[in-house]
Amino acid sequence: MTKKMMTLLCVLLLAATAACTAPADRGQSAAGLAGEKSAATRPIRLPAPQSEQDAQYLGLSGSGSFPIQDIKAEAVIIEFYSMYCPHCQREAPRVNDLFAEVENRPELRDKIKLIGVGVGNSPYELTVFKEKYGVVFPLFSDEELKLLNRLNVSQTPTFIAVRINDDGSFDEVYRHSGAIGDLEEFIMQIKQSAGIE
Amino acid sequence: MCRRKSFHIVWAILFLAVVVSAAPVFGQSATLKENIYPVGKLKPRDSESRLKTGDKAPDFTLPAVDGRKVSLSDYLGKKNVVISFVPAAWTPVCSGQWPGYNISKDIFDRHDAIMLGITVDNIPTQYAWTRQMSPEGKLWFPVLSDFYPHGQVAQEYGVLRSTGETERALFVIDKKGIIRYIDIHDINQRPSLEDLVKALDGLEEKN
Repeated sequence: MTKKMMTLLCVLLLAATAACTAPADRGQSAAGLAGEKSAATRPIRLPAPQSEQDAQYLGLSGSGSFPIQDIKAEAVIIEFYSMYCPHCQREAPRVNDLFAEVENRPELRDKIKLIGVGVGNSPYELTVFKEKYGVVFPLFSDEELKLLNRLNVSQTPTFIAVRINDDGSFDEVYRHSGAIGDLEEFIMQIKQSAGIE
Repeated sequence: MCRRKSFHIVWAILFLAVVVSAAPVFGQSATLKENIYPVGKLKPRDSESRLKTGDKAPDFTLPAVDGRKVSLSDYLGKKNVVISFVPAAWTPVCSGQWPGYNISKDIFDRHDAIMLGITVDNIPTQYAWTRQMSPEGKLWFPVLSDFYPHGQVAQEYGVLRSTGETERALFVIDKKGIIRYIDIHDINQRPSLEDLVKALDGLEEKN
């Protein structure tokens, strides 16, 4: 009787420990968060880039909407934000810093691309945010919350890193909600999660 | 192992298991969603229209969060006025509109317009709520309290709902005090900024 109970409780304890080591908010793995492997295989489509400059930065050839793996990069950092979100407003200069930091490093510049997705924001509302904060990286409108729902985003700002694989598949490798925090550490975590360098 | 000892170990392990599995829940932050009450979906509209474009906008005097008393007639002959009624503090979408208007001051300046934000909440509530709406902790436009007599101005503008909060409504009033645009919006949706800007553009023609 005692032996059976002990075994049962050891199993319980083991299970509980596994739950504790489940990824916390920072640096979550894709499988741990979404809970479904299939999430990585459904397409992520982005609307047409707003400008020629945006298309060039992302290495896109055609115009019109496109799948995320068309972006010429090893990893794409997607910032889900809204112009109506004060936290996103506060973080905007920092995100610009992130962009500048990556662009300033020759070893990262072509490997990591940054885009913003304005949840519930119209193209006009994108330009308001863009002009207010001098945003240089591409912004995409997600008025109908398709991308938000596709990637199961519930807060803004949320940063998601998607690794683009050689075979054209992609995986979510990193997710963080709230302020970026230390820039160095953030970039380091992205690199590590995406297996860059 | 005698019976008594194993009994205590069993409870110790059970206790640990519960504590350990609860840890992740308490460890996660909810910084961005805290203090927002989940209202759910409301009836899009719950009031009767009273005003139409071309009418003279009813004057009013209301207390502002910054301590002043603000009258609509303060702006007569000086500024175009956009009144934004939002239903209630600390509820979704409501939190959403004004932070956006707060970074759109350029648009208002360009149209020689100011914004007045109005809710039926009392001043301390509005104060606490609007402090969360911008990194600076305040908005560039006055926030007026239609708390007492409850919703009197909202009532005059035909936007007081049967449950006591206001509609999500926008009124654009020109420098002559005439209403030029009314949007009594689906309360569950946020009106898009470009519609308001188009309405402001429309003022140039007649002003």
